[in-house]
Amino acid sequence: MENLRIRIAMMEVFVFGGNMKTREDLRRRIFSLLPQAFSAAAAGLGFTVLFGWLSGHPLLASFGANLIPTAPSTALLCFLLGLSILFRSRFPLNRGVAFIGTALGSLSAVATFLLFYASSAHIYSSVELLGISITGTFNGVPIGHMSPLSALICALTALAFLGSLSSSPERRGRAFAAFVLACILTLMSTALVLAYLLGTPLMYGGAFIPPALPTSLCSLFLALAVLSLTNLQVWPSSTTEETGVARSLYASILIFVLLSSGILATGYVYHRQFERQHRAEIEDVLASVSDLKVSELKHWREERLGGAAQFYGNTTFSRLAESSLRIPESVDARIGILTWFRQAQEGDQYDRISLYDPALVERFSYPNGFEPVDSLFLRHAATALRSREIVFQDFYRDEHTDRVFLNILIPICDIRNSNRVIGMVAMRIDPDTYVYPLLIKWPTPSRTAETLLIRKDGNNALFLNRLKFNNDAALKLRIPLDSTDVPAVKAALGQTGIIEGRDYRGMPVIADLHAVPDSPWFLVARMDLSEVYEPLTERLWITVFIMCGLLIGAGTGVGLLWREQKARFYRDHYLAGRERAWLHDVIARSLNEVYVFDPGTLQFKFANAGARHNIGYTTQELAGLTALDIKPEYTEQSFRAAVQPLLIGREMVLVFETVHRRKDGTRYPVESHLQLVERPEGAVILAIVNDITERKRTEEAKRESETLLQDIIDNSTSLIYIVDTDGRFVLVNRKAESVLGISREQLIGRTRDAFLPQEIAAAHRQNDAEVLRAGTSMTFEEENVEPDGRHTYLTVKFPLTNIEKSGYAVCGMSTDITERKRMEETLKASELRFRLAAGSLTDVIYEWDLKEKVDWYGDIDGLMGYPPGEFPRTLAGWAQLLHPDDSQLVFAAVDRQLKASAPYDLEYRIRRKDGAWCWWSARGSVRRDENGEPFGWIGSITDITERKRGEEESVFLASIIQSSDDAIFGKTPEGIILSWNAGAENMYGYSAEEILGRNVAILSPPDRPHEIAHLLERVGRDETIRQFETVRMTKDRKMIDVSLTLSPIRDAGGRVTGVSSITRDITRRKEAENELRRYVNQLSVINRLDRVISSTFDIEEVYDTVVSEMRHLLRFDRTSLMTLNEDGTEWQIVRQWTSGEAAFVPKTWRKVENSVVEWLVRNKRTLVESHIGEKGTWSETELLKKEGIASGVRVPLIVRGKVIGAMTLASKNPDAYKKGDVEILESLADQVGISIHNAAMYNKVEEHAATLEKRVAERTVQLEAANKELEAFSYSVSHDLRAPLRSIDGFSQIILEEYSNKFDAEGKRLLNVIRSNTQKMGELITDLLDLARVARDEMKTVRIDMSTLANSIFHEIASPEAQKRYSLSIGALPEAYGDPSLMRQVWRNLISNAIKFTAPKDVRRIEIGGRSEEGKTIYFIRDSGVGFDPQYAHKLFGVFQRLHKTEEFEGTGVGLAIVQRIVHRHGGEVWAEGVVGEGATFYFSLTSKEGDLEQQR
Amino acid sequence: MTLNSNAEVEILLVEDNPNDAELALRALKKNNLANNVVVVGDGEEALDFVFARGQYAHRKIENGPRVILLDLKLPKVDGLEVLRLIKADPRTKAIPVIVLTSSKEEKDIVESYKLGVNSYILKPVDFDKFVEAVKDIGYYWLLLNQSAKN
Repeated sequence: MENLRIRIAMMEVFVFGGNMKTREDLRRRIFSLLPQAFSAAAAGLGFTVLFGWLSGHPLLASFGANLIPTAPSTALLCFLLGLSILFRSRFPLNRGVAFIGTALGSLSAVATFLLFYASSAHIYSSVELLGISITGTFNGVPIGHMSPLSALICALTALAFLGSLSSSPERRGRAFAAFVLACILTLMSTALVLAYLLGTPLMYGGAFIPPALPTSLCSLFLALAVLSLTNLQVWPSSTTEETGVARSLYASILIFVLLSSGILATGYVYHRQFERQHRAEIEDVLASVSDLKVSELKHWREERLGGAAQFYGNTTFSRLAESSLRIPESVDARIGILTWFRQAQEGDQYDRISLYDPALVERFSYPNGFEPVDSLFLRHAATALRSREIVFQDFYRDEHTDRVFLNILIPICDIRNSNRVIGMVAMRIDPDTYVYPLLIKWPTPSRTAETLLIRKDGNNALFLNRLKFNNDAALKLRIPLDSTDVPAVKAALGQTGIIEGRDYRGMPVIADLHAVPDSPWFLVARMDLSEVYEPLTERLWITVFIMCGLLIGAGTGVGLLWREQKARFYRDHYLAGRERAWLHDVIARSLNEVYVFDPGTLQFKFANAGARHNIGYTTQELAGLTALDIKPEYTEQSFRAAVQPLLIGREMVLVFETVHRRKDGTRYPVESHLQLVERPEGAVILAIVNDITERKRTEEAKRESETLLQDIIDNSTSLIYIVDTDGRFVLVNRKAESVLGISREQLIGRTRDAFLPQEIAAAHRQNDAEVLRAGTSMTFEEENVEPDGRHTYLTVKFPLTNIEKSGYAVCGMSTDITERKRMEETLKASELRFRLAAGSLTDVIYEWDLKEKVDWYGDIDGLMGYPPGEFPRTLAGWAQLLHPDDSQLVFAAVDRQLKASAPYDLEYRIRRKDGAWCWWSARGSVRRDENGEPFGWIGSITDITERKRGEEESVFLASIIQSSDDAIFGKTPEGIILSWNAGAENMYGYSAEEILGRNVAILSPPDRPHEIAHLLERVGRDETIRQFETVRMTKDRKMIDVSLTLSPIRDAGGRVTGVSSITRDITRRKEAENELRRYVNQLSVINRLDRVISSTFDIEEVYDTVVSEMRHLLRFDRTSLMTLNEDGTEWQIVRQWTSGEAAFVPKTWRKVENSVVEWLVRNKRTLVESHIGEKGTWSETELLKKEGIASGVRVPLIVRGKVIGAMTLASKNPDAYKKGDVEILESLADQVGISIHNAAMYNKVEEHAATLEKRVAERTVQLEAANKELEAFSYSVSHDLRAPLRSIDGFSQIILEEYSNKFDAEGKRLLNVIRSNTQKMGELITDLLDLARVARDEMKTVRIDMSTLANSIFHEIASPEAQKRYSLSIGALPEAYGDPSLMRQVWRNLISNAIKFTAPKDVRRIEIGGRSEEGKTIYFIRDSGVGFDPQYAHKLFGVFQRLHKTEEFEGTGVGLAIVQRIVHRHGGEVWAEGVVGEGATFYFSLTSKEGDLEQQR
Repeated sequence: MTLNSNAEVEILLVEDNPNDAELALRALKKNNLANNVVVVGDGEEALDFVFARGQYAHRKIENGPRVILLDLKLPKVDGLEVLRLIKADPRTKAIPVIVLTSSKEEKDIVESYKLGVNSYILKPVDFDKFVEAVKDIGYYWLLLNQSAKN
């Protein structure tokens, strides 16, 4: 049943795509939440903007100071649309919402289309302001009005929303249109928002109002809301493959479109940004260049005018001019004038300075020379003379030379004489000297950039300077002022700032316009746009290239994604399909009937093979049938009523039994499981039907047999009843009811005590117990007290046994023999030859005359299968029929009756006519006359063959039980033992007599007091315990491992009335297991022991460990570990444990002689005694026996062939140690022996070490004292020994200095000899002290970088010149461990040696190298010096040993000795190789590791 | 050598070996440093002089010496002890002390620097080198004059 439900649930999940349903649910949930979220966001934004307007915070409407605000109308629209979509998605089925949505959407669409038109046509209505007073403009357009683009977007959004309002699946087209519209809107708004985010808002600076940021955001949210809203409508479910794939395609296209629009927008914005920046840079350059030039021009003009001022109004000059003009011959004046002019010319680079008389005749000029006069000049000169003011004659073209000049015309007046005009100075300026170069000069490298100087000349703009592209433009090129496109014209018209236009060549340019102050000039700094855009174009190409790459990448990525998506989709489908097919196959082949039918029409839609097979219809036939056609028990009405709970969802599964009708009209009972399964195409009912014919049939048969049995029992004339082990009635038949006069109901569950007198009830109970105990049927004569008096019954009782053959109840069948009894009594009493044919076939009375004649009263012939009268009527004839085994018994009993009146009541076998053996129960007694003489015999026989047969069977079973090796016994639920077989006797040692009636608890070991109670309790709960492994105790208190199987014995009512127990002795198995466990344990103990004793050298610990671990290893009553002394004459016990506890044994040495140790020493092998004393008698044998030790093992501990001790194990059990134990002990002994030996050795070594240490300590003290002395000695050497030397040297020097005149040369030389010797003595002392200190000072070991060290020392020792003369090569030296200052000294000595001995040679080469070897590092220093004779190599390192004369090489001969000492202190070696004249190599080695050095020390 | 009790002593030479003392004086003289040099022969006398007590009780502690040249191996009071006492007294610890010694023992050098010696000159056997070494005292002279000026 449960199984079936699970199967149905599985079917629901797999067959009907529950999986997909959940995924679909998720999608639905998401797509119902998304529009709500988006529309709420849009509405919120709209509200925020409105609030901003109303509350006077327009910033809330623009989201930025320099941004256009959203119009109130737009905000309101967004708010309303947002709300509409929110409600629409929240309550998709509400008609009211739909209606209001439609109304609002239509209104919005109309309004926004109107606004779009108005806004596009620049018609701004104040209605749009919604009554809020908004003034102000943005880039020239009034704010507060809807942008045409916003209007368009709003209109389209409204349309899309309207499209989404149709929810009917038939009108999917509209939803799709709305979806597409929403996609477009999303793209548009994304572009707008992106532009804002990237800082280049769209439509800014144009003629139309740009869409505001909040508007863009709102429309994006609205578009997304509509998009997600329509998504569900367009693709309501994703169950079919095509829509799924199509959808993933659409999604991919959408992603690609979004991605590429993002990429394009980014690229565009980036490029625009760059362009603007670049433009700004160029404009900056132009502006600053023109600024600079304007100021320079201005300055230049001022300077020029300032230059003019030195002549103008200058009395000195005017006087000079006057006199020179007056007296032209005056050389002084001439020179004076020319000096003035020269100074001015040279100072300010004038082209020419001339002095004119008032008649404008040139009188003087510098530089000198005649030049024809230009008419324009004359005109200006005249003006100057007339006005008596300085005139700045602008650019003009000299008509004679065609050169361009400027002039400063200074009228010279006689100030003293009424300001009379004396003449005029003209300072002619060649623009090529300064102005033109200034204009041409451009600060940055540029192809087209230049500056133009313009003057307005009539209706023309006149170019004043030479141009880059028109060298002859100055004063020639003019452009009419009406060509306002030209920057020069604009400049001439007074415009300033940056402009774009076309230049004189017609090329598009960008220019900066400036007026030059105080002048008629305008400056134009211009540059070709082509140059400006040159880098931009380049940049654009790069951008385009990158974008193309990105687009291709995005396309590829999206394509791959789509492919993957598609592949996955198909894969999923394939897998799901396969799974479905598999399940379908399983269902289709199932032999259970599975039907699917329509809940409405009840027509079959599906039936599996099992169903078709069972019902006999083909699929086609079934298709035309309804469920009712196979359910004859139901009418349509009743069936619909029955399935109603399913349809309304009150029940998940309906289970009921009914009958199905096959095609052939036969019917069969079924169990039907109905379930409603929702499918997309409508719900169906799934029916899973089990044919329960077989079950029904079995149930029927069982019921019938039960009824039959009950009938038999009830109709029996005997009393039949069953009582349980407690004596309660479990079953009684009708006869019993009537006999006892008590109803069945009153009897059941009660004991006999309730209606029988005590003693009778007790007798019955005893009989019951006997039957149970015997386990076989028995016959009793029982008495009952009935309403009409006492009755005697012949009762056959047999135990009812459960499967374990233990009885749980007793069945009794009682036949009322009261009458017969009475008759017998009567017969006996009256002693009448009363022939009576007994009513019963089985009872026959006989009479014997004690001779041959036997009379049978009853149908003896019928009983024995003889024709009437043919059964023998003689003693001999009867005797012949007796069973040979029984005849002796029978005659003996007859004899006893005859002679001693012993009761004759026995059972024997007798042959029937057909040869079969028949059991008779025979009774009889001798009839005696008044004198007591026997004269006859009367008795009865009963054929008890039937009973016997039953008994035999029981006996047979009992014998099986009896002969079983397992202990099989029964007990009451309380544990009272009721039966006990031979196996149990064998196993537990109790005989049946001993144990019956006792509690089974006596079999439980004392350490498990509650186990049995617990087990019985479990069995009492009707639980069968199988193979429960435990320990039981035998009669002689031996523990045995057993496996128990306990089963409850139930009475007919199912109550547990007894427990059968089968006990199997698993001691052997357990022993094997234990043996294995012990072996593993022993191994681990040995292993542990091995570890412990090999890790310690403490001999006491070894002893302790060995002996204590032995407990886990072997069983013993006593164990001891003994050792022998060195010469093997005495032994002592070092550890002893008795019964698991350490025993104190005084360590006394005992003689080996006569002890068992002697045997061990002599034989060097293990001594095993199963019984102490069997292998010999030793001094301690008696003692052991007295202690009760019965067996033992002694193992010698042998190390290198010598017995050093022994281990013994002793047990009070004889033969306690087996081969395995001995092996363990022996292997242990090997280990222990070695450990003890090692520990002993170690102790000896320790002792030695201690002595040694003591000696070392003493020596150390002595050494330290000696060291101290040495230290004191060297201290005084350095102090006291040197003081006199110093005096000798010092005073010799003083003599040399102060008394030099008193000495001749020889005297001075001798004094110098003294000095040099004292100094040498000083050196010697120093070196010797060094040597001493090297040996004495404490070493600090650190890691030393030898390469650096050697290198630094070389540079320290050798002077810079010397360094140049020597070629030094230092290889990569291995690191060293040592004292840094000592190592420094080693290198210093070796390197200074090398330098010293290489000095005389031409080739001065020193090579330092080193290598690592095993455990040491070797360094060498090789020189190309004078070398040495190898035969003296050993002398090199001796103190004061020198191989060269002092004259040749200075030195004390201590240096190498110091080296040697240091190296030795570091645990290394030093040696040298050399050839005379070829150079020498000194080697030294060091231990390569710190630890090694420590160890050596 | 007698001295005006109020005269400022510039150099105190503590040297027990008269030969060494003479050589030191010559070396100082060679470096033009021999004006106002007081020579004392043992540590006790040196301390008496510096702290103006005993036979020098009439002196004023404030009056110098400007530099002390101190041998380490001295009778009575050891040179290191003299150094310690001078550097321990706030009145005298500013006096630069230059240890002049023939001992190259590291422990002496270390000990001297621990006690605050200002310089350490090894007395070489070679007199010329000694003269060179005394030249270094000129550095302290300079320092001293400057500090006196300040």
